[in-house]
Amino acid sequence: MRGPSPHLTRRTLLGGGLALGATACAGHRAAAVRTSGPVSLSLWTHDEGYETFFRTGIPGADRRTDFRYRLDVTRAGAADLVTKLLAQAVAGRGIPDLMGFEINGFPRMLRGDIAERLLRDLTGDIAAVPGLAADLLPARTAPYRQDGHLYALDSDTPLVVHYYRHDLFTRYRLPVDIATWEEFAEVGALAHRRHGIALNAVVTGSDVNQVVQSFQMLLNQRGGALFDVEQRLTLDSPEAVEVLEFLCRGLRDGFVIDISDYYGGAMQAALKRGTVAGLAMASWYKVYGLMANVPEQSGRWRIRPLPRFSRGGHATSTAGGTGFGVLRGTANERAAVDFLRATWLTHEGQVRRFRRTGYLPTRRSVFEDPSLLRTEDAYLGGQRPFDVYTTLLADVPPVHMSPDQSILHDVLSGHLLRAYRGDASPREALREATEDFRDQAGR
Amino acid sequence: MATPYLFIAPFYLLYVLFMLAPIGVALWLSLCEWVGLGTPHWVGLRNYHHLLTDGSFQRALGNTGVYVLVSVAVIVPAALLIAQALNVRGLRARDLWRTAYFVPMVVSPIVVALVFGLIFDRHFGLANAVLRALFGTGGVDWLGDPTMARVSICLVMVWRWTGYLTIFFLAGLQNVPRELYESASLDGAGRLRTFRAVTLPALRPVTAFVLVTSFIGAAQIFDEPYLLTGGGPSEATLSVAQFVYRAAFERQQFGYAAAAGVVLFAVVFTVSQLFNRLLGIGRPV
Amino acid sequence: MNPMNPGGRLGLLARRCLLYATLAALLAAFTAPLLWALSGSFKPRGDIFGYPPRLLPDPATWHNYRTLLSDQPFGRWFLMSTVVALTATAVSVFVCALAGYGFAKFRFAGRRLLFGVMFSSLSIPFAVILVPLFVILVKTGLGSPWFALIVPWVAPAFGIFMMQQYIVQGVPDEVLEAARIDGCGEFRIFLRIVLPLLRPSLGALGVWTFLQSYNSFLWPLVLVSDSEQYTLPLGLQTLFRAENRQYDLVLAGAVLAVLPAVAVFVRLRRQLLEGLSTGAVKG
Repeated sequence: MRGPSPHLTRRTLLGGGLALGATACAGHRAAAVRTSGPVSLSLWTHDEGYETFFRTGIPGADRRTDFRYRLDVTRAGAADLVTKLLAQAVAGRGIPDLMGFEINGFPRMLRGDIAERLLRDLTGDIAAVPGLAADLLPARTAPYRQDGHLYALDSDTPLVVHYYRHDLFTRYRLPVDIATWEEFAEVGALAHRRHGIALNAVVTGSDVNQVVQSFQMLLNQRGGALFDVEQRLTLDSPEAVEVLEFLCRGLRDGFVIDISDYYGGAMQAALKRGTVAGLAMASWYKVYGLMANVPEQSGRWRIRPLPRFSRGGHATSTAGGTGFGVLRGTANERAAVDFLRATWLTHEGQVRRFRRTGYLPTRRSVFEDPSLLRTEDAYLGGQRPFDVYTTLLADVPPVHMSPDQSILHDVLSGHLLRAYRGDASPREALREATEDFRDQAGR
Repeated sequence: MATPYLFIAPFYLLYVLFMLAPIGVALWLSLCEWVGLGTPHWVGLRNYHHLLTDGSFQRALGNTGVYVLVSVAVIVPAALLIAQALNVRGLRARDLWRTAYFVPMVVSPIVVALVFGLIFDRHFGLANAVLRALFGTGGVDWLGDPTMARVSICLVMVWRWTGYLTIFFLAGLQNVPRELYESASLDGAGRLRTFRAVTLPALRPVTAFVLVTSFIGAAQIFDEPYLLTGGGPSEATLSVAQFVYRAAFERQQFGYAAAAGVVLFAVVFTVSQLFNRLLGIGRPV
Repeated sequence: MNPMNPGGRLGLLARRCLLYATLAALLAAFTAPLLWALSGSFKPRGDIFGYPPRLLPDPATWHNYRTLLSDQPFGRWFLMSTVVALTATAVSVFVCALAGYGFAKFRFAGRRLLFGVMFSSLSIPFAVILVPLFVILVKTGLGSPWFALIVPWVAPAFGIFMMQQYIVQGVPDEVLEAARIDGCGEFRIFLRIVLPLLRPSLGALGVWTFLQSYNSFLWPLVLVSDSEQYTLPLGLQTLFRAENRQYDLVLAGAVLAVLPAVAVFVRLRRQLLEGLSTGAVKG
């Protein structure tokens, strides 16, 4: 670690000062890389669940590696952590060894050569474990790739499913095996007229990431995407128009309800009253949305695969995730990689992660773990959720990110809301979002 | 001889280190492209050129203009009116009123945002519930409709700042000699004329100060829109300060952020110097 | 008031009623949101958004407070905020009084210009120095919260301006002259004579500075990276932005966080309200 330099002149500060910090974290530090023995890893994460997961993984990691680990955890808001990481990197000090990037925060690392400077390319570390590279679901490594490098490993395969209130569906005699979204729309419109319930929800509040997420989940399922693998915008597509038209129709017919965010009090109130009798959402939402807000509805919810779009697309999509990456050039780099491999990527590590956090494995083989397959979920009325998840696994579309993603989220969220309110047609809204994005990206 | 300089030296030391130097760095950065790491690239005036054509920046300027307008044309007069009411002779519980009105200013912005987020929720918030109880309709989309969102932010600003500014006016009013009012009343002046002929001139210095500080405060507003609406929907509440923050800390465009900051600085600084000159404040007594 | 007024006492009475009604309505508008938060902090999570909204929590519960205090390092956030704010306040009051005194009681070359420069620093938006100031501080090894949350902010122009105004009015020249004739040094005069005379306005500036520091959000957000050194607003924002939106805990935390600020304010309100105004009145 670089000490403070007391004799810094104004010129060095202005001229070379900024660059200095950057070189310091690009691997030029004097400290030798530790290869064994006691080590204290500095871990940054926004989520307490990861902290406990890694802490309880220490004994196993100590057994499997040459290190004896201690963890020094910093917890803060997801976006703040990235801000802090970059700021500390500029200062050339105080960066963590291991860091969790909430998926919407990661695109900032893709700007310029930030990721390359700061993060270790994990491709080689994955390849070093026999069979691992082929076992990791490509859909979940795609978001963290740039120029052929892999910079983080996801915490989850957050498959999107349809949650529904089994009790209400039974009471109102609604079919639970709706095959297509088109049929869903008809059933939903009728259900709303008769019973005042909604079967899906879109976010229209101030959190632009959630606003986009509501749309993107279905867009990706339909086979569309925000960005392609080359990080180019692909929003102006027939798939996008179709999905947005579907959501707007849902809002008009009432089977889609607009809500200010997925987790807050408004959602809770809507769930409590049974207004939201169903929604398309990621696998982790059971724990962080439903159980957190309406624990008393235990046993009444079920999950099922999303209805399909009859014109094509996939069985599911993904929403959310958090990639853990290793910082380059620290004395603990080796230790951090070993720790990640010994906890995050082992079979039992992924099983334990599911048990502790509700996040699904990222290795295909772990989905076949008998104990997971047998798991019955009391909240889901004794349903075996992995019966649903395993049917989806073969058809998970990848998500690609762009350094300009936050610009897109800012502009797209506004235009989505315009379309939802009827102030613009879906086609116009998407075209204008595309134009606004072109206008702002690359400044 | 050196004595007075020694007394004021600590301020100037801090001023040079923590104001002037950063402004210098900001000026330089605004001429560069910098992702926040590595070496900044010199790009000349390109950032400024981009700002000119950036619809987002224009919206931010426009919104900030609205905030400034509300602050200067609504909050300041409202504070003056309330101060007038509190200055009525023989008013009971004056301390209670002015204390209660000041309390919003004491509360941290994050708490303000949280509370108003609960109140302004479209389906389940208190505001719509009250409207529904009173008028039967309460479907106002406080934070989701672009226009309403701007109104909501302004309401929060009014809530937060009015009581604070009232204090200044109240003190100013209390310093107006009673005889002036009495002679005006003897001359048969009505309320309005007394206000125009006696109150306003006497309040000139305090009004000037309040106007300038509210202008500056509103021009760099960040907390309310950032925490309550995140600048949305469709950037309808985005302020220039948040534009700067967003460019730097959400988009890694530090040079661009610096340029926007410099523009904000130039505008705010020039206008408030003009104000100061015009209204004759900012000179040592 | 005016004996010729035909409305007479009745009109006066009606006007008074109207006045008090208006003041009461304003009181409600200014305090209701906070009382709503207070009430909400005692509600179980599910009732905070209950419909129809209930003014009083029923059932009332301490659960939010208990969970907050047992599961979150609330005490540490609180300590950090308070210590930072108190230190900043003490230093700031002293520095402002020094400079204010220098401007108020001395005539020296460049006084007008220097005062103008000081006053104009009021109109430097924080947004323009946010990024560069951060870079400068961390690169010079001064990025520790104990330094960076306090030192750059201890000489606010507003405070100096206010002190200057107050000293002009509240410190008679004769007292200073008498002390000088007795052979007192200038700094001693400041410490022994001026500061004690300033006590009420120092209190005012103190409360103002305390609130500024205690409530500041953006700067700590960018600066503090160690969760051990979180201030209250940062801690609350972490809870609020967490994946499960713990707004029930945040409400309890909000109430606890606001209490000291309100307590300080209510206790010292006379000084603050009077001091704040003296500073501005004679502009």
